[in-house]
Amino acid sequence: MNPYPVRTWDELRPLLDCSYRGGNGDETLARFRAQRSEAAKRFPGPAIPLPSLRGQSTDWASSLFNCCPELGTLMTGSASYFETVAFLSELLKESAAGSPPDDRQRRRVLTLQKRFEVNRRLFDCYDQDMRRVGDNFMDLDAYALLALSLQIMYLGSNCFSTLNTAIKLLDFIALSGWHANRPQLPALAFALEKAILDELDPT
Amino acid sequence: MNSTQPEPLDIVFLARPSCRTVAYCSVMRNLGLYPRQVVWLQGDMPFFSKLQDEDQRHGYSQHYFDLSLEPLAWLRSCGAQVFMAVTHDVNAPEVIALIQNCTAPALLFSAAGIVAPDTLATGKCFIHVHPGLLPDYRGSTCFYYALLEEGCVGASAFIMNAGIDDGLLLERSRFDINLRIQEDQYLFMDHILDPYIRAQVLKRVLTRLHAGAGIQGYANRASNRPACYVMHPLLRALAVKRLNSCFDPDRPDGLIEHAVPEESP
Repeated sequence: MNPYPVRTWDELRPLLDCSYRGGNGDETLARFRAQRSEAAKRFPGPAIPLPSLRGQSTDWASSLFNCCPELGTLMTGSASYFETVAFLSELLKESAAGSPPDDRQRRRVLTLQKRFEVNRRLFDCYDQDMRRVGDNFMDLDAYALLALSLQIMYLGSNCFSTLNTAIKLLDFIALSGWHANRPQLPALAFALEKAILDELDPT
Repeated sequence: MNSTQPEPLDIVFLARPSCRTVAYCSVMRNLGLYPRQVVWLQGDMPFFSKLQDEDQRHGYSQHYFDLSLEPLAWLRSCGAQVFMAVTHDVNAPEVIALIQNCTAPALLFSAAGIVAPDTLATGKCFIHVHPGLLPDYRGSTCFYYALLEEGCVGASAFIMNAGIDDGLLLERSRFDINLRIQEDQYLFMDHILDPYIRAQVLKRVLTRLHAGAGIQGYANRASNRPACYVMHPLLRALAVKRLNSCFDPDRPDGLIEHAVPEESP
């Protein structure tokens, strides 16, 4: 039996809705930890020391590009379309170089955040008005990269809205069972999430 | 509690069965007021018997609002003119027609869902109390965000417009909290604390209206904070843990309200 069931979108959507409606007690924490423990088996990643990340985004970003060097070759954004993975890769590469997102990039990330929060999906391509182009929403790279971008925004701002969406994106990855082209990306995002949550709840 | 005959307040109460509606009616009863007209939507409270069990153990009715109050029966006993809708949808044509038939100029909103422009176009001044300090905390679970980020919660009364949690502000309050939430208080945050803080701010709005102050709102400053999307249960659980970790047994339990003054736009 496959320990990681691969779900269709119709199977996944109600699971996502349900996972957002849990209670606010210890039972929720236990259930979440069990789910993430399974995800960590599927996407084993490095332990990330959070203190070295705060204020030093270049460290984590260097780790990202070391563990996933082909990311650096994805920066092929076309003028007519917005390519989600390419945009996020470029954003993270700039962060690795110590350059925080400019206003336009930040707005785009927040638009992607909104798209995911409203539709529960990320498409691989949008037009310049951020309307979806095509129907491919099964590229887990995009979900992992957006989670990483939002986690880094959280580390820089302590704004829980970005961390909240990052957790939901990783729920999507964990629950979907879909194939990841670059499993290093979700692995890094899950590892970073663990470091952040351990800091928030040391118990 | 005011034991004299309650006075009618010239507002429409658009309500459905919910703890918020109970909390609002409880505040009106304590002020000796009732809404002149009511549009009552359908709805249910499947968790209510569990909430009553929690009330027995933790005394919500003594400390927050009276859960034994039956809003519809109380409103009728006061003499409010009640119009029953056979839908839970605030934007249903039937509901819009009922609102239009009401003569009161202001409407107190205690329903659910996004109010559509057609409903807002009924000519009433829709008053809503949101469980977050506007303009920074927008969205339905925003008080968990405030707990995580600031260790306190807030509520804002405002005049609704077509935007979400947007409009001229009437009153705002910040609440310092010193509470330890027990593991068996599963419903406290969403069904007691949330409606309670809204009702406290509503009390100030109703007092103003009753004094004849009218409904003059003020514009607020802009905020570039991202919206508070529905919070993941994990972060909600961490918010409760954080609240508990800040509990100071040497201070009185409960909430302390601080009115938040008008800010420059």
